[in-house]
Amino acid sequence: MSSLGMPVENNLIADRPYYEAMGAEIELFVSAYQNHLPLLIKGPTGCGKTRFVEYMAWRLKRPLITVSCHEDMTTSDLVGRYLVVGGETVWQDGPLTRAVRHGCICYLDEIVEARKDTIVVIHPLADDRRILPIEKLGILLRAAPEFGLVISYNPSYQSVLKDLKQSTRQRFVAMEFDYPSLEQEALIIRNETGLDGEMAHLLVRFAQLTRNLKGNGLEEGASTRLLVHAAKLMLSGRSPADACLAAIIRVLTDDPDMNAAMRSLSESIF
Amino acid sequence: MTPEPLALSVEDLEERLEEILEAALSSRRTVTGLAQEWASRPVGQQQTLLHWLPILARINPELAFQCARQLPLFLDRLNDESLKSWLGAIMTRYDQEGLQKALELLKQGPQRHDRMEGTLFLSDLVGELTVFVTGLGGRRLAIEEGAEPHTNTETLFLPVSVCLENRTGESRRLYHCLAAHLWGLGRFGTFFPGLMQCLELYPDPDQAARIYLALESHRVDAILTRTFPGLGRFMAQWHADRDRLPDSWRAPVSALMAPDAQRELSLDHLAGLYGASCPLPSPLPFHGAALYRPALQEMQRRVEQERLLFRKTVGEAIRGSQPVAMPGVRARELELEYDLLPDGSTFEMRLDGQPLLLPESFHPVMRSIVQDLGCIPPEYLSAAGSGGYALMESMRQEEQPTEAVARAEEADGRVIRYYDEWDCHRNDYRKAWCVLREQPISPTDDPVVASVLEKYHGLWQGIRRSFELLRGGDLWLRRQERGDEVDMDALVCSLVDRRTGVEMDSRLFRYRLHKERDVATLILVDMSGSTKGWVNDAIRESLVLLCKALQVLGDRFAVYGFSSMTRKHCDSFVIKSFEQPYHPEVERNIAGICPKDYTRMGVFLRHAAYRLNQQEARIRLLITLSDGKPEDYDSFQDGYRGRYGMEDTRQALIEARRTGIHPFCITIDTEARDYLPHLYGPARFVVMDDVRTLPLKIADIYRRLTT
Ligand SMILES: Nc1ncnc2c1ncn2[C@@H]1O[C@H](COP(=O)(O)OP(=O)(O)OP(=O)(O)O)[C@@H](O)[C@H]1O
Ligand SMILES: [Mg+2]
Repeated sequence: MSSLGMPVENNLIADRPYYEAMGAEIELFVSAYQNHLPLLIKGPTGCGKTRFVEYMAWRLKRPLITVSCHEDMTTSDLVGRYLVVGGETVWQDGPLTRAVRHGCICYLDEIVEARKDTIVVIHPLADDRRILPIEKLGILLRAAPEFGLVISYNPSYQSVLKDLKQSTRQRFVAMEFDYPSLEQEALIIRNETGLDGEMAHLLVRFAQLTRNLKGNGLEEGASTRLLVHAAKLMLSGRSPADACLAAIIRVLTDDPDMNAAMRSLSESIF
Repeated sequence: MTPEPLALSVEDLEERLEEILEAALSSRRTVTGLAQEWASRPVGQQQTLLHWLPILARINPELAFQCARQLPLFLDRLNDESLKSWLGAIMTRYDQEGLQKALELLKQGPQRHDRMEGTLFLSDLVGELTVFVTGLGGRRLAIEEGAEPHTNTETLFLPVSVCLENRTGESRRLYHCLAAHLWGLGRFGTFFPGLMQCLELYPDPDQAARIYLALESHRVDAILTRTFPGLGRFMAQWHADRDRLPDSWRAPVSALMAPDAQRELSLDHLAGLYGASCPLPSPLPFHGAALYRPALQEMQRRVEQERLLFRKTVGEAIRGSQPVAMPGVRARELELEYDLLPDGSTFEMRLDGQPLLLPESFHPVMRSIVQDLGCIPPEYLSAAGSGGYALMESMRQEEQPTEAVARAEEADGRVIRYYDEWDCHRNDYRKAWCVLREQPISPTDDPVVASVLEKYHGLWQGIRRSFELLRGGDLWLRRQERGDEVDMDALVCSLVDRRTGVEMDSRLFRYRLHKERDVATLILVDMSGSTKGWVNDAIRESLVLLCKALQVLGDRFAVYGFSSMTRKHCDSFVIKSFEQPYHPEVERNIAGICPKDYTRMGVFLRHAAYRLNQQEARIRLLITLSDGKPEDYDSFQDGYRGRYGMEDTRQALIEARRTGIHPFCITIDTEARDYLPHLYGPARFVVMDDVRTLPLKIADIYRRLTT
């Protein structure tokens, strides 16, 4: 039996990702990582969770393996499976196994999307045992000391049923992300896109108005990600109103009233 | 070329009007007032009046007299064509329904088809404006029509219509500006509890208020301009003539435009300007009327209410966080502090240095208190005696906020639950406003239901076949590179290949695709009085067919009927619960569906969502079978009908969607095409033109919904 898989060195992040710290999250991440505690990051979509994990992986100089969880994901998708190559059966590590074996940081994005029976495979990894049972190989894989587990989820839009079980939650150290403050968010947009400071401020102001609408007909307000999109459109010549309409308003709602109201808000700003 | 005619003087007008309206006049009712009003009008309008008045007077002198009084209100925004069609409509109404009805029409003003270009009616914009002011942030505000634009700090009263320069776009901006300006007065501290005392220092408090509000308007506009540059540009068109400000106003206004200017500065300048008794600057179109009493009254009511609410909530939180007091041990005075983030967004309360957790829903109240009073007053924080924050005053029953819907009691087998209702006039929920009882339906035997399968025999065969095809189950994808299990057939073939020296196929696995139909459906059936007769029969027949089809399909489903009679009597009838299997008893329940009272849609949607959310399913579908608009019988304000009922329903649907439910509506109300898109969104409903076709189509609709 041989084993397949790309070298994890490909997952090293070469260039420093741009990440603007909001508080003490970098220090908290480092402490959790050093103490072998897995990390749960909560926060609305597009507020910098993925970027933060990339930055931390770069900073800790560990390869980063990201898995976007989805409903049809099976345990084999995470742990690995046999393949047949040229008449021989070959075991291929799944992303989680690779991370465990080679001491990478494994980031399970949107963990609640995965079915409950899939989620439980991380339980023995996430407590102090730090082992991954691989049934098909009949082994218990002990995690390398550099292995780190990070999961994320957005508590607001999932249905009540798609909540994390207590037995899962209570294995993690949790962080809560939210939208940055006006100044910080404007800075992020400036650094990320090159949009000038004043425009970046106005864009964030507009986003804050849409965030006031959350729960009043809008599921979510505009995320930092959408602002980055709008800023890019503006830099390539679209007017602020058009950019907001295309990158933010239409993305957030199908409702004509809501659309009209948000347009009037954007007209009030720009 | 005929020379431009000259405008008529008061005397000329008096003479002409007396002549025309003679029959409507008496010694106590003269034309003097009318003549004065019309004398100030441009000559073109005077001529229009003198053209129409004789025509109207010939029909009815009283009608003509009333028209002469009302017309000045509307003439500015009517062109000749629309004036003609409006007056034409009034005269027709007079012919058909008499004077009273014609006068009503006159009072209402020009209807929308007669509007002049550029005129915008509030009714067309109220939904958008409500969202707009919610977006601006701060306390939730409602929008209503008002003759004089002003705010009481809970509601913005805006004019029925506005018109600017024949451009609808500009009129829309004017509404935005008006709304933002009135919002700003409330948000930036113009109204505060001590204002009355400040104004009463002056001999004429109303005059003082006019000056103060004019000063504050400039301060607020400056803030708005800084925060909303887009609005600022629009307002600048008017502020540009700041040169027209009376001289003594220039310096104060400039000072008020500084970023750090507060209302105290306006109060300072009020003193100077009041003494100088110079004319007030003319108000700008988006400034509204100089009203302050409504705001102060509302504020007084709210401060009191929120003070009670603060004590109650904080008291409960403290009690929840403290160990049970030992008898005989006197409770220590606790030290309560709070922090407010600079942007006003988040509060933190601490009790003896420990964070005190307050319900999320309470934060807006604390923000509101700070908005009114500038801080949380020390007396709110200091514990009242050794009892701490015990609730001393009981809240008004109606306003008592119950934690959402958490209360449920079982009484003789019936589930009773309380639900909030959305009040669009307040732009907020009425807490625990509706009482919902869930109860069994009385089953009956009815040939209509018993014979459905015979009647629709052919149709049923078709439905069954197509639904059988949709049945779920696992689908195995065979001969895959990767998969969960070895595909034995493929493996055997490969081994044979290998023996015979042919290259072996590496696709040896099978992969399980979860093609589960993980669907839970709740069908909500209208049992209001209007469903009597054909509609009820069609609904029952359709339900039998649909239930049988769902049975074949294996989808979990429940059926609830509903009918209401005021908010205190909202009945939800269990025709089939999710747990109950489908058997003949359910059909007898379906037979028992009968027309009852009204349709208080929101509460039933909320209850349906509650039941659906107890189901663990990937797709949760909420189907409403209805025959008309939301409506209930009750006495408050305008009651549960019109916009109120509509907006509550819409809000309930938004709540449901937020929890991942897919709502869908099947209705036989042909007018529904006008309002359903607003409630359910485009393509989330079907309108049946002929109720008799409902049984033929319902299964098909369901199939399309879930595939
Ligand atoms: N603190 C930050 N520093 C730098 N960039 C940021 C920061 N926050 C957000 N961004 C910007 O926002 C974008 C979206 O962030 P990211 O992809 O990390 O969101 P996320 O929280 O992972 O969202 P999702 O839950 O949808 O996956 C980033 O690409 C980046 O441009
Ligand atoms: Mg992400």
